Amino acid sequence: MKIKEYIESGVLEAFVLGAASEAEERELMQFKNQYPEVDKTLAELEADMERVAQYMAVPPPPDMFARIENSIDDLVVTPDTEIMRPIDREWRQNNQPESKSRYIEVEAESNYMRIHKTWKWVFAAVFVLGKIFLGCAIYFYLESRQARQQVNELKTEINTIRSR
Amino acid sequence: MDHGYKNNDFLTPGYPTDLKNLYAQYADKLLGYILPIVNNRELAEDCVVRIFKNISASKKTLPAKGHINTWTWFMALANNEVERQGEAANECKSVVDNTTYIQSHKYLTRMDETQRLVFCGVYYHRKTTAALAHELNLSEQELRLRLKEAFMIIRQVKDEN
Repeated sequence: MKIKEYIESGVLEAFVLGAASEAEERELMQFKNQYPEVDKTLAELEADMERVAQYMAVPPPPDMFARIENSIDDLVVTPDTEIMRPIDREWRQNNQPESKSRYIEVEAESNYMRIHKTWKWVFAAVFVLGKIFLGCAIYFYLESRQARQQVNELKTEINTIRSR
Repeated sequence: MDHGYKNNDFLTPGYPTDLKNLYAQYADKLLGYILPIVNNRELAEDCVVRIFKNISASKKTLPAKGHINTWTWFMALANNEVERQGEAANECKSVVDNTTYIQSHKYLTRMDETQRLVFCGVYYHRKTTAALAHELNLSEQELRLRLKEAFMIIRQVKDEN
């Protein structure tokens, strides 16, 4: 089989996605070392996969790295523990028997907080109400200023009439 | 069977800096990759945590065969992790049937139904070409060609952007 036909056959795409059979993988590894164009095409396909992944990326929650660090710490202290969620961590802290541990516990607090999505409507309502109140305040301020001016004008008029 | 490569050399000693860099670069991609497979946000997050924990625990020796770049290594690790979830992974709903999801991804809307079934079957559901060809009543050769066409569409979308 010519190498161009091999590249066009779709085996490389299947390999990149982990769908190739073991025999196909072995053959491909051999061709990869033998033919630079196979190597180059594979690199391009993997770059495409990364592009797809970037396109579909979902931002992780802010406390996720802290969870990873926690689970790594657990690997050192107690290798069999499950990955702990923040609530588990609190429970453990509150219920931990006092022991003479050789390790010092360091708790790194995240600077972020997670809130329920429904709060965005509350924040939006507060924002809109704030704008309405600000508008009202400006309106009534201008109204009262105008009224004061009118009162002053009337006073001046009355004084003028009286002086006649 | 574990997917992936052997003796990767992305991680140099000096955790947590290196792990944090890897996390900054790949955590969002991993979560975006695993989420449609397990269809459960909490489970997907746990998978990502476990993957990074395993990377840290095993230093440079996580199994992953034939690998070329870091992202495909991560994909292989993600596939291994999802397979280990057993029943949980069975919650996976077919991405192909999820019209909202397809409409939200430009390259999937450009594919025809067969290309989408082939790409999603392999990318999300990690089926082998033999199994998927049997399922879709296609020859393996034909299936690989549909997969290649799907990649060409991805490249077209990439070039347009």
